[in-house]
Amino acid sequence: MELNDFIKDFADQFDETDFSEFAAETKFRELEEWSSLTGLALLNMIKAKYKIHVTAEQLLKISTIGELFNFIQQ
Amino acid sequence: MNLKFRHKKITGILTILPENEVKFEDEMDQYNFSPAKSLKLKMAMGYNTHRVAKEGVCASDLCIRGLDYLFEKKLLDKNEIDALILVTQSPDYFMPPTSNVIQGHFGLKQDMICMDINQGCAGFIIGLFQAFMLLEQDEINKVVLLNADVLSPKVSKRDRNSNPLIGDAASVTIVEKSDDSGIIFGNLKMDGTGFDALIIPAGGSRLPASADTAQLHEDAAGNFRSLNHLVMKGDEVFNFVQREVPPMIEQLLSTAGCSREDVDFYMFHQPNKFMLNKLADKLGVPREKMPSNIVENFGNASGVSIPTAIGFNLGTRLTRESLLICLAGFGVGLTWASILIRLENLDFNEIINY
Repeated sequence: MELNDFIKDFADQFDETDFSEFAAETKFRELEEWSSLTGLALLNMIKAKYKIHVTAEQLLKISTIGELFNFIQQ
Repeated sequence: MNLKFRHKKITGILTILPENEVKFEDEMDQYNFSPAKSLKLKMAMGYNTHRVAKEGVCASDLCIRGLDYLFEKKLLDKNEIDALILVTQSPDYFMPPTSNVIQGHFGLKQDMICMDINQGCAGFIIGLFQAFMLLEQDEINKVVLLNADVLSPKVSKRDRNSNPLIGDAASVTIVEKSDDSGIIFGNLKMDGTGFDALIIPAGGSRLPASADTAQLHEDAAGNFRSLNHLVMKGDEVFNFVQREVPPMIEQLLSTAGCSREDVDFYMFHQPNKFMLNKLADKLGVPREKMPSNIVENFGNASGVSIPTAIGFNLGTRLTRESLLICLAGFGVGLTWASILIRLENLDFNEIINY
């Protein structure tokens, strides 16, 4: 699994936000478009594509896209 | 399970919406959230206005308005109705069936069947399946399928989860025998272990309504509701839909030997814009082919959302054209069901006010 692929999958959950705003150090909760719904869709994508079950509670402790990538890799 | 039907057709669809329109902004101060947060929710979910019946208006009133309209316009002859199916979760009474009440109101012939079905989000599909099965009978040639729900009184005004999206509505769909040998494909699944994902806990036999069940309680997210109110586990429903609906549609299309591109429109149940857009993306269907504009204009009226989507987005086009349409409903039950059907040259496809 590559970080760049993950960033793309992450960005795919958004409709309005420009792709240039997504990077490993992006604090995703600070993105204008982020909402708890985006969170739900994100966890769904991770489960479907990466076969890893991340809970909403676990996601709460993660603040950047890179951290989430590392968490999934473990 | 896969289902197949032959020699059946839909010949008309009428949706009846209460005239009373409520704006999201007008109800924002009832929610325990900052206006900024509420407006963000409005954007993400595609909330705007919804149609809410005036106090005292029941599901049968909306149905009667629709049938009256069709009789007056001579689009339906009341002597030809061999079956009246009403799919609702908000019947007029526990007993008798509301479909019998409607039959009595119009003095329809006695040689017919009236049947209430308790289904919600998938209620249009389940109702069509039932109509198709009844049409197997020699003496049943025309079925009137009513979908109607007035659930707004069952939703707490202080519940940001459900109140902004609830809508009241009814639809009348005419289903008849057809000489056309084309096959209508269907798919149906149920999972009662998820019965409490969408539920009105009190007011039935298990927990009768009382002063206690009417007490408002605050949930973890800051919504206030009582046990008499509809409660939805939004995240579970979202996950269920994203997990189960795409494979169901793939199975339906593969059984029918049809590609995603062959389908002209995907007219799905309308829970909210966000969920439908995610479904379209996951299925690899262009969002224009899967309209998601019913909640923002009228609200989600459970089983009536699909006919409303067909009426609003296709209107008189369906009285002139022939379109291959994939229908899908999913939610309360849990129930999820779909149909692949050709809709063409309908006698009517419109929306009227109550």
